[in-house]
Amino acid sequence: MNVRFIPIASLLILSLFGCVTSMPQSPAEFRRVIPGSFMGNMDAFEVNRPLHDVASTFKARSAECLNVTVKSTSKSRSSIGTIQSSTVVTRYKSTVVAASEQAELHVQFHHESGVVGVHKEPAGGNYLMIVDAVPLDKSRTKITMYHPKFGYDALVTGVKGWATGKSAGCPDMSTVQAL
Amino acid sequence: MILRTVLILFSIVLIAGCSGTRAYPDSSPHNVRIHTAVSGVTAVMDIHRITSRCETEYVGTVALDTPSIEIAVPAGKPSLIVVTFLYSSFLRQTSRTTSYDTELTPRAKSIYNIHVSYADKIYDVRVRETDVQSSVSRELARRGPETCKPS
Repeated sequence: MNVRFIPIASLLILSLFGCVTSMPQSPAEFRRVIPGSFMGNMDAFEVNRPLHDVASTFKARSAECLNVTVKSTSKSRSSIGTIQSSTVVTRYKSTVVAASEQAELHVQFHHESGVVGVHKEPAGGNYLMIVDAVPLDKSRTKITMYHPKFGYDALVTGVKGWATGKSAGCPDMSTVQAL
Repeated sequence: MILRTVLILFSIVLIAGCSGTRAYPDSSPHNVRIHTAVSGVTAVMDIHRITSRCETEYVGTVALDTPSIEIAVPAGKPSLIVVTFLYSSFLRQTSRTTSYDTELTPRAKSIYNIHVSYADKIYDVRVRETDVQSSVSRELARRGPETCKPS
């Protein structure tokens, strides 16, 4: 992650939710805010896999790929010529909630250092992505993804690969927010 | 190829600073084959010995700079395999790393194929165990160091 872009990324995160004074505190609130926000995006598509398979993949891959802590360091030269180094530590957390009629993947993040939080964070960190999976029939599932429009392509691509079953690879979370 | 190897080793040294990175010792028999397909990043593999107290002791680093490399990992003893993907931009003065680790305890009469890939910000590390006599193979699930129990 390029730390010089952290302020930009933070602004984009804020612009996700418009001129709000707080971040979404629950998955339901995140789903409600994202579709109408300038920088938010909602994708919906169908996959030829039963809900159970999709949920199993979400559980296995998210546990392996998304519960990570990323440390990023960047150096920049100040106006007086000195080299300044910045480090940001971000912890990501995933949760899969699976039932017979729906599965959900929640991805949250929390800056452990390097970024000052100005809004109240929900438990586990701010929401970054919510994915809903509901069965269309015994062999097909509808996927709906709520996520930021820019800067998170690796995460979106990775989760889409898990949903479709075409790829089990992990998104490189160190690239997230690298705008 | 020599220049590339030198650059990769130089990168490893840069990453490690003066922390003592060293090449993984070559021994035999080669029981682990590492297949690498990465683009846009440099990949290395650190091998650590896991002690009975679940502590790790660094053994060495393998530069994953060729499509296929064979190494020897002691059979019957747990090792921690750590694959690190490094992206570094000199002009932008930025660098980032992503690591994947898993415990591996090779069996005496098995060979292990480790497939390492990185493309378009998506990485994958797969470990497949094949019994030499029966040719039966299976994919091994990741076992992180947190699963180790002191004996």
